[in-house]
Amino acid sequence: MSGLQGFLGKLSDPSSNSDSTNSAAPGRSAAHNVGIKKKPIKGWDDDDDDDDDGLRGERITQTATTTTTTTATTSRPPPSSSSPQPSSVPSFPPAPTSQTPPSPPPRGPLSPLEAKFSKILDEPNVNLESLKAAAWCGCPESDRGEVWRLLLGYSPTNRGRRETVLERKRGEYWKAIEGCGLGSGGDEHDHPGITKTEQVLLRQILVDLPRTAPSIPLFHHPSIQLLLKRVLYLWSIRNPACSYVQGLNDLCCPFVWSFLSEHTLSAQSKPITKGIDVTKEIPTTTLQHIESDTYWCLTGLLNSIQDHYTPNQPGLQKQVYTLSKIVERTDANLSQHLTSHGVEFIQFAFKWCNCLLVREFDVSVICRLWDTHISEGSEGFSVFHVYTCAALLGKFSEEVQGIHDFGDLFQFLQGGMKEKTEAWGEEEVAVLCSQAFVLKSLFQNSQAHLT
Amino acid sequence: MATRVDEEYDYLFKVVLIGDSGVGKSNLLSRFTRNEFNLESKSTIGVEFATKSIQAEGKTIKAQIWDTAGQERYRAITSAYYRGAVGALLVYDISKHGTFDNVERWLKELRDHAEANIVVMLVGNKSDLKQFKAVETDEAMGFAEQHNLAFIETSALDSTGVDTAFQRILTEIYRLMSRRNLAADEAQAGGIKAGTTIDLNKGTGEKKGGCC
Ligand SMILES: Nc1nc2c(ncn2[C@@H]2O[C@H](COP(=O)(O)OP(=O)(O)OP(=O)(O)O)[C@@H](O)[C@H]2O)c(=O)[nH]1
Ligand SMILES: [Mg+2]
Repeated sequence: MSGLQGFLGKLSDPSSNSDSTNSAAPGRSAAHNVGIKKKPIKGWDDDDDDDDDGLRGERITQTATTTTTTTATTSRPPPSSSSPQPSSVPSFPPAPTSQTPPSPPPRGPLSPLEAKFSKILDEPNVNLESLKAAAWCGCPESDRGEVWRLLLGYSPTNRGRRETVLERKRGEYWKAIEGCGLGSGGDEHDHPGITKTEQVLLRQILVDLPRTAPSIPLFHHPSIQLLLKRVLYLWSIRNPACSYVQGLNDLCCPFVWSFLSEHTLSAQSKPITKGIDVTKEIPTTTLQHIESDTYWCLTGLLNSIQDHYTPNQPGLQKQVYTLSKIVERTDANLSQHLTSHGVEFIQFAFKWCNCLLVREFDVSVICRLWDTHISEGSEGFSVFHVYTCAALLGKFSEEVQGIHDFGDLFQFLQGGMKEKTEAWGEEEVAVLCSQAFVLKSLFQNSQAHLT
Repeated sequence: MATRVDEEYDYLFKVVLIGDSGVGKSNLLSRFTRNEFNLESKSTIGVEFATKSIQAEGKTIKAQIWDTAGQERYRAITSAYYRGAVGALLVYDISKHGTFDNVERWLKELRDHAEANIVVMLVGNKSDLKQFKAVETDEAMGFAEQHNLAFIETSALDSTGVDTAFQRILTEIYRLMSRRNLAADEAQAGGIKAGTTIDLNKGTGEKKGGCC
């Protein structure tokens, strides 16, 4: 064991901390569970927790008889096949249109993880701290969309207001789209209503759309291309200080993926596939919601890292610098190896920070990684992300130190890593996040020395 | 993927690929170094890098090619890579006149950030898109002559002109370098012998203000 792994090993012995409780800050428990896959945390399977069944029943207002202990919720099919979900129950995402079967096939019993989330999400007022703590360790795919909407400050915690607020925000989005002068087709010259500056940014978006996640057909479906075009265009004209920056297209993908996945799981009880035909399988209204949700969540995410994308990208440059300093301190050999071969951090880490690692992982893995980042709140991508990058580099430290040709080193750090992370699952991501957490705890008090 | 044959070379030249986003820089690079073309490549964030060795006038020349991001926003980062470059392929898209209009701006970038004596070649890419041709060959050639640039039209898609473009610029750099070395030889009775690696990264330092 060498480098970061060794460094972390010396500083924190995960096994000695196993008595920690779940009430700690988000991430604490996971950090203490380094290497332990999905260790159940207190509360996951406890039925007698502080959950208020009375309030819980209130939520299912339209159900004739509200039982006290079932966990049927408005957002997911009942756990048992005993009773089909009444069609009058307000549902989110909205009830499927006639294109899909009226009552979705019931899902099997909830997994412990799903039950845990169910409990948090079904509260009349979602406790964001509990949600963060849970989501830090990864969300079930079926809940990810809802969790992200909540944690990014788009969806209100109050259950009663949620539907109204979402409806209003979605309406706002579509109104803005109508008013922004963007037609559905043609190149940047086919939109007479837009200014010269807007033409320039639209041109760039149009150049990038077909180059978005090239290996995933779903993102090349005409409906999704149009979705991305509108979302990116609106965000860019509304944020003139940043405007459109290449890579923002990549950042939309995890959102679209998660929201689509949420739909296929709830309406069809099946996970999303990369080749899904959205026209056939996703109702138009759902697709419209996914689009506006993508816009608002992207907005929420980018609010915390605006200076990544302003001219000269100061936030990003600072992150790359901080990363180099962290590695210098935690893995001197690696740092030296890179320097002696002429590799600079900016050459590879620039992309890591610009695209928030989206290009380094498969989309499903990045969604899991983002669970943790989003749970870290407004510092998830502005601060925690750097430590994730450091942990990632640490993970491949030995491998990188085994490469002695500049070109090969560069190749590995630029894209070769993706081949390695292709096979990653929950366990690898959990370890990565835990290491990032430990690093952050070590360094955040000494930030001054790093910058 | 890196062939060990590459290891033996007489000269190492650093070349940059510049030009507007979407003109096909990354595909020119992948066509030249790996004979690959990708209709849906990803946009370049920051820089990419590849090498390839060629033969010119009996010498093995290893080209170290830096492919930069085209978007304006990235200029601050990408211009740092011009340092030490002895050649630049300035690429536009023959089917998009706007990318040709911006060539002047790119030349200014080079004047501001690259070595004064950098060899520049103007490259009109996507020559396969004949029916959409928006920049006439004569127009581009005239511009190139006026600015003292080499000029070629290429297609990364069907390979036309790609090898020739790199071959020509590398040969040109080699000739210029030998001429300069010859002059230096006469002056100092020293110079670079065959087999010596010229590390252009540790090159002559910055000379600003010269014209390309
Ligand atoms: N028809 C045709 N298309 C090409 C050619 N070269 C590139 N393309 C296409 O043009 C698009 C952009 O190509 P890239 O190589 O990614 O462009 P780039 O200049 O590297 O762009 P940035 O990385 O954004 O600066 C891709 O869809 C390519 O498939 C060509 O010679 N002919
Ligand atoms: Mg490129």
